[in-house]
Amino acid sequence: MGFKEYVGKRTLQGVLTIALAVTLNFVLFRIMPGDPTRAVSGDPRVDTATRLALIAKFGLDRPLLEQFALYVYNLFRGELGISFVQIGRPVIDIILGRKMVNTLILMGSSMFIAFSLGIGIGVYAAWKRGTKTDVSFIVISLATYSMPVFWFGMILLLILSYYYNLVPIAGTVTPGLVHPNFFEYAKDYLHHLIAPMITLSVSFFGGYFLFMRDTILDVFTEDYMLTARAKGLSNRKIMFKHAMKNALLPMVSLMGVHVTFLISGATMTETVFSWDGLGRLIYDSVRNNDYPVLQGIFLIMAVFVVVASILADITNAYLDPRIREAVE
Amino acid sequence: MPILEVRDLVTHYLTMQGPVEAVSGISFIVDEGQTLGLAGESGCGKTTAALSIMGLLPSNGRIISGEIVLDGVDLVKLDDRELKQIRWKKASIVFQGAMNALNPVINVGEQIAEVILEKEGGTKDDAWERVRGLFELVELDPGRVKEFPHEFSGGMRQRVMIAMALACNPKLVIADEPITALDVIVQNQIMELMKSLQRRMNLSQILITHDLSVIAETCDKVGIMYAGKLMEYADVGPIFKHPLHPYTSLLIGAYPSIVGEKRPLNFIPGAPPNLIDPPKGCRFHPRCPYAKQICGSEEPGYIEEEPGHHVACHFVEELRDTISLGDG
Amino acid sequence: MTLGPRATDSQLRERFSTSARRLKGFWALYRMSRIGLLGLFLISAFIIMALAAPWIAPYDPRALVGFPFQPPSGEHLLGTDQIGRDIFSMLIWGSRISLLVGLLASATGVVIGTTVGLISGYFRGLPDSILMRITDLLITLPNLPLMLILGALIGRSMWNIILVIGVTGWTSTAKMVRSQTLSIKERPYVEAARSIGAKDSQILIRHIMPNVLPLVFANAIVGIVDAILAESGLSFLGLGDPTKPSWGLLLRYSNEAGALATGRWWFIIPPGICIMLVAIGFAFSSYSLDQILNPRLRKRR
Repeated sequence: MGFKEYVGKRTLQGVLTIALAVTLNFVLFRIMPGDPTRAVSGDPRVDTATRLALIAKFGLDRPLLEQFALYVYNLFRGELGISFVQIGRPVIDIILGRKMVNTLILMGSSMFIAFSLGIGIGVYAAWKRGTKTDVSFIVISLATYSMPVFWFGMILLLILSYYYNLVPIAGTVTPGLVHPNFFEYAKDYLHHLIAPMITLSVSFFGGYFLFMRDTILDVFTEDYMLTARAKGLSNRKIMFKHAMKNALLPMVSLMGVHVTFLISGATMTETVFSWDGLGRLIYDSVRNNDYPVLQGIFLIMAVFVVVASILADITNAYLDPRIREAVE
Repeated sequence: MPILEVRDLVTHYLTMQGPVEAVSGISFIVDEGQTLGLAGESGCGKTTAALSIMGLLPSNGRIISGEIVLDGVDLVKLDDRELKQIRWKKASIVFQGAMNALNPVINVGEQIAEVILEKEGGTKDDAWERVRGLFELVELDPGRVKEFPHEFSGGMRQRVMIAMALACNPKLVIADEPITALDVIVQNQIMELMKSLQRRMNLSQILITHDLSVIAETCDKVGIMYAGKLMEYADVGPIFKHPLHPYTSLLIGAYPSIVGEKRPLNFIPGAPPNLIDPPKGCRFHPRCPYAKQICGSEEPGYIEEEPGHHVACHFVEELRDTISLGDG
Repeated sequence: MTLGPRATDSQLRERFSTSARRLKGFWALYRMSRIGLLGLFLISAFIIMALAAPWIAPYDPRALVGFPFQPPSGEHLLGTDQIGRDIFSMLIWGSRISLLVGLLASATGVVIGTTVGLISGYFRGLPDSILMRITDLLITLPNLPLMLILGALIGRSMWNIILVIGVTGWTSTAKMVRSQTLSIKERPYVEAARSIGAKDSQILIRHIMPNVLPLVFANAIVGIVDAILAESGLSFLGLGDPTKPSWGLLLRYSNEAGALATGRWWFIIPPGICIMLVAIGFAFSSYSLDQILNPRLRKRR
């Protein structure tokens, strides 16, 4: 099939998955033990006026199917409910804002580092297969994969913060400090970003490394690699032009799937480092039983992941000339 | 004037079960402007011989002894770097089944241009100009140089491979089963193309195939290989009209002829031997209908029975008339 | 070949010698991998620790046996926690939790995944579409948040954690089993079996499962790594069983007690090292297993 058809099909799949996620979201939070409407408005922390308003908006006194319809309708209007903890504040406000940006910065930077290092070293290790370097990196990757993310964060903090006082112990910026300008703010922010970013990158490096190495070794068995060698091309050309271009294709698809793991990792990391992001919000909301916020985050995450994976697959299709220029 | 002289080449593959004696001492010459055909069943070592010449053995392959003198230089004595420089400039290779021999994610013109640029420098424009010229040489539409391998048919991809092999004007072209994977009609077209190219450019070729009919039509000299050894080596006429080795005779006899009387097809019972533990004496003796006691204990010498006609058999004189094929 | 009640001695010997031979061959290959052996060693060490806990732990892990926040000493090898329990004992007993949860949760996931994969791959059609949609949905949703929510829903006991991890972690097994089933289904001997009237269940059990099980086993080992890490993560975040002294729980205590801010490394480092070593043990083993069993990798030799 041609590229355009693939894009269309993939997007449709994505929409379907989001629809399923929405349904799951709805069902999940309606099966809370006890009063099914607790998830939206039944919590004793919500005052009566708000509760009545929510009951009206989400039709909590109506049959389940109607509630579902109303839920979806409200979704399209950006209405995700009211937080229990931050009384009166709409969920959507809490989620889409500073917290989301913080999480995206953390996730984005970590993924970039882990990915770059992973594929660079992965290619190198595949080339030097069997040597000490190769085996060392395999062992390092397996070891970091087996390391609990939060523990690594704690160790990092212990060393860098407690013993050497290099990085701050928690938070996104130094609490209480007023920054004279954006540059100072950025410095402080980055200072706080270092430790959680290293933690998250290290924990993901292993996976990328092993996958890239694996993929490249597979590529090596292909006939066209023998042709490249036969042509007397330089090693660099063989590795980075011929091998890597082919190996990157499955990598890109992998990244799409990996976003979910990144979110899980970010949740853990943000909690350890008190990084003010969505992961931390999840944790706090679970602790505080702030169901509306949980429900909202869940939905946003699902959408995010689906979009990311669609983008990854489409990028893959675009980069692969066999799909992009398919012969009809 | 010989372009290539191979003397007593021995190549082994190292495996967990022991060394596989893929090539056990073969010698042949390719004269300038001539085509040598290397024939034999699968696994007889012809591809290994080709890879040895090009220095493209896999990591567990080793040239144990022998000389490969290409244009005056013994390739066996060269190190990796020096070999790389020679590759494609002095000798190039066309692989079989160009399905996978071309990198699927790089356009065909680029795959040819890159080797021109790497080996001879120059500007990109010049290189691509030459690519278009090469396309015309192999009867492909020069307008298609930027397309990808999957957009061409099997026969056309093989033409691309041929164009690529000729890109740096090598002295020697090795073709390993160049037409085996193609339709019969396309086979013929490619064969004609290669013949005319060879004439026009005064190329020296080694044609490796198990298809004797192709050899009969295109080669000047023929070497018949079996189990890593050369059984017979002569000009094409004598080998087909009066072969001196029983294996050659049986091999030719396995092909039906359109002219002449109908006769039952020969087949050679048994299977090629295990090269980790090859048969003692003459390697063909377990399957040879004329084998005697001595064939299983003493290896026959590789003797020039007639000018330019080498055979390795104990009973050349005795079998001369029995196995002659007359004018068929 | 089926061995009926009247199988001769030589038939029995032949049948079992092939499996024994295969096992010996497999072990010979596995032995060659230092990584694999190290992994096996670590796993055994911790299994021994878990089994011998009552005898090697100096104190009852739940008893208050000293002053809080004691640094390591002769009496308490790793000091005491924030209310006076011996950390070393808690560490030793904790191995039981991690191993138990790891093994059972992975087993749960593998059972679910294999079932889904077999049904999906063998029967195709509607069940396949539905199951694959569900699988894709589950893959899409981030694991940890999902587990947090489910955990919050059904309560904090060890068995619930096992369930939660298992129910969220079967997807990779399912996909793998499905693709294996699909390819085996097309093989000639399966077609032959079907043409002589073999029932679906027979084909599944006698032809498909034996080919699928080795890879499932390898997958299960990786699953244990993920399960152990998941359990420690959940315990750390407070969804663990508060009555069971798991390593993740220890780390939670240390975090809450401000061990970081006060540099009480004996509270922080040991539990994490244990988690890491057990996980590494299984990770190394699974890596070696994969090298041997994965048919794709054979091409590289």
